[in-house]
Amino acid sequence: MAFGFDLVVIGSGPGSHTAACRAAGRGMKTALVTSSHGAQLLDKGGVQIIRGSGRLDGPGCVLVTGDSEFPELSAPRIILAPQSVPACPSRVQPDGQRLLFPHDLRPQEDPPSSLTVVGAGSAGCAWSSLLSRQGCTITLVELQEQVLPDEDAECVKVVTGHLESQGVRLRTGHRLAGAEAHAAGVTIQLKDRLQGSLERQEDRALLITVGHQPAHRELGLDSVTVVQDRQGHILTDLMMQTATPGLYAIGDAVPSPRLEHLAHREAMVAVDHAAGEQPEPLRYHLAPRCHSIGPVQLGAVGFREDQALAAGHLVTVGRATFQNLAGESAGIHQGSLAKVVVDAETDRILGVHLVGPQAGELLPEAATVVGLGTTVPAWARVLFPLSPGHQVLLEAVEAARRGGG
Amino acid sequence: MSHREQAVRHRLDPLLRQCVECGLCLPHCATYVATGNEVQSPRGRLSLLREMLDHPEDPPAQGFLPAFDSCIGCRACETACPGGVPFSLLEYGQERAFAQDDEAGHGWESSWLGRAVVSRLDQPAYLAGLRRTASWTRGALEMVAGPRWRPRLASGPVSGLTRLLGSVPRDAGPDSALVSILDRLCGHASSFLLGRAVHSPDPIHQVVFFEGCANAGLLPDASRRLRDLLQGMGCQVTLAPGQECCGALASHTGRSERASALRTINTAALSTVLENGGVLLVEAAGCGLELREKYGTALAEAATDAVVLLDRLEWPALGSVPLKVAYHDPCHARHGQGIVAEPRRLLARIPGLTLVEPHEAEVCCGSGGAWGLRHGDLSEEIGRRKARHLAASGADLVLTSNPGCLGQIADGLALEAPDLPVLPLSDLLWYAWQRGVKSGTGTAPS
Repeated sequence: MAFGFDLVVIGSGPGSHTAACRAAGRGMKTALVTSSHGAQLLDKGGVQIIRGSGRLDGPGCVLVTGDSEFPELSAPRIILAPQSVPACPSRVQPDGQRLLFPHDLRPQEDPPSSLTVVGAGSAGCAWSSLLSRQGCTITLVELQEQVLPDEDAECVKVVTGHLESQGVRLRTGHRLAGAEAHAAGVTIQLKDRLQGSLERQEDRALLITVGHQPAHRELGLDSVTVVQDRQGHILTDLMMQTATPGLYAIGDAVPSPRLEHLAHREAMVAVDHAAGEQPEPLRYHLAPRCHSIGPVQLGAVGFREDQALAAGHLVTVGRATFQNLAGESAGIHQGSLAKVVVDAETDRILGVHLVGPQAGELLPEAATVVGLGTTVPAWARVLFPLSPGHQVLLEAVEAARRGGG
Repeated sequence: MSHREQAVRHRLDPLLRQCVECGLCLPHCATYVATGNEVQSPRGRLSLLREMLDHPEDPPAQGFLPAFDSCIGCRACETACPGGVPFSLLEYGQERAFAQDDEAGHGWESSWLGRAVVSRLDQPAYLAGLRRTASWTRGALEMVAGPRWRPRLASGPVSGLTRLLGSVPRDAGPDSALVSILDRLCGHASSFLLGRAVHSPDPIHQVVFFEGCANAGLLPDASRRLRDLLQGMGCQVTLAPGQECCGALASHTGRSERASALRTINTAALSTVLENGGVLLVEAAGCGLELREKYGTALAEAATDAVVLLDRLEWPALGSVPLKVAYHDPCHARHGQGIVAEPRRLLARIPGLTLVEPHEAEVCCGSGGAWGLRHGDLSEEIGRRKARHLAASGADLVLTSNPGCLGQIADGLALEAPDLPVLPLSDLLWYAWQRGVKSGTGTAPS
């Protein structure tokens, strides 16, 4: 016999808790099928927690393995929020010993004395900085020509300076050509993408941080109509609804950037739509992102200068560095930067890019002005409590108001 | 280097550097998949563009023009790219290629085909004439060479002409013709004709219909059935006078002045009707993308694809269609506007219908509007490939929702799988709706 619910959330991925809580809060009879143990708190919120793994069995039906109390569920609305798994270059066979994912590193043990990190995204840079400060010799490999390839080049230069000062050896524009584990360590081959030259080195281990890929082979997607891209992401409309009416997908299941705060918002959109509303679709290009690398953070929201130009804007950029300020005496590191990208015709703020010790704290303010479509003069009029980081931001806004610099 | 060129370099360089030549776009690119030729792939085209920007003084490489000229503009590479390299790079290369072509006197306007056909493709009256001529000629060919005239005349002296004739989209004709085609296919006892407009007594949605040129000129019956369907579903559909083609055809053929003139005309015609908000219903995906990207915010925000609007409406019970159906996404819907889930959800409402997904579903069919006229052989090759995949999917019926795709797929199927029919999505929805009304389960006609 199938247990009937108004809405069932399957998975323990990002956004799954938000979805379940919001649905229960809206008065829907809600179940969350999850294998994670962090869900107990939701019980109090009126969510029926079902421990096990859920599998679709046709539209509106879920089979649960691992829980005998609720083997079969039915619901007109189902939200898929599965976790993803770390992706891996095709040449590498991770073994948990020498060829590692970050979750293989054990915090109680000393890190390997030398390590090559492949993939210089947010995770790759953060791990490189952390481990090098623990005395590990790090080589950071990235296929693109800069670390944090999606971020503003000038801000990334500041991050690069920090990484190099910590002793991280950077190999941007390099491809991992091979990695062979042996008793003493790993033999790694790197190939220069443009020159084609090969480089060989010995390390104790290889750390793989090249992103994540969807893992929903167990979700029973064959029993419903869904369209997937070739990586396996489920394609949805702006309300997160898939090709099957009433079936939604959020978070790691869909191709949007893998950011937890996005998954939360996707969960909210999906639940509101499931409740019969037409919520505002998410504006993905306005999603703020923050990378923590050693003592500094890189926070950004909205368009980079080149993206704004490509989108047809006439662009002014306001810049300020911490060196401009007396604030340096307040213990702020050198090598910080704030950039404000502005539409020169309308004065609207299109993007804010920050790098410095407090970049993450300033990001909510930046996200607000970019999200609301505020203009530079309007932002310059707002009074804020004084903080060294905020002064830099103000300097950049002033520079933009004066026409760039 | 001129100031303008410097500005362009400044704009494009960081975007170009995002391409790491990983090749994940290759299996999504219709021209690469059909030819296996690197310079006819997004990666190859970008490397030619990089070369050109690195050596601005030199004339562009010899392969530059054909490489960019052969790009259909389907944007499948943009969807596939993990590094976020935007399609606007290829668009820029294409602009350069067209400009170079014009200088050399080989542009669209200078050829007889360009003057006679392409430059007038955006006029519905001209297209209606083309439709009648094509339909008459096809009838004549059928009498001479039999119902399988298309594969028979696929090579030889008239191959170019037969290809053109084959790919001019045709709709099923009047309601009675559509009903009899679908009745036969479904094995239904013949439905008595219900083809009168069923208006919902109290319209709940105000919809302004963007006619476009191709649907109005080439598929008048299908377009009318879509309006009937919307009206039956509670929409009040108004036609704003003074609209013209959206300008997409002109900009895709490098005639930016014409495109911008059309934009001015349409903005003037539609702004007043949409002053107080409302939905601008767009039938063809190509028009939808053009309105969203090239028009002012008000029109861009109002523009709604017909499939998206239909998916939002409250549907009555529909009549059954016991068929296996493959839906081909127009690229400017799937890759340009992210419309993938909506058409499939619409089909899921029809009882008895099974949806199949063919291999390479996201790859372009090779129509590309005017592109197919200029690249006849390559377009035919891509169309045949698409048709083979559609036939292999086991579908009884192919659906799509763009006039260009409809004609191209019909032509490919005529060559590779002549028994597999293709229809506009809205026609099948109209049929299921009418059958639902007839069986008394749907809304009663007023």
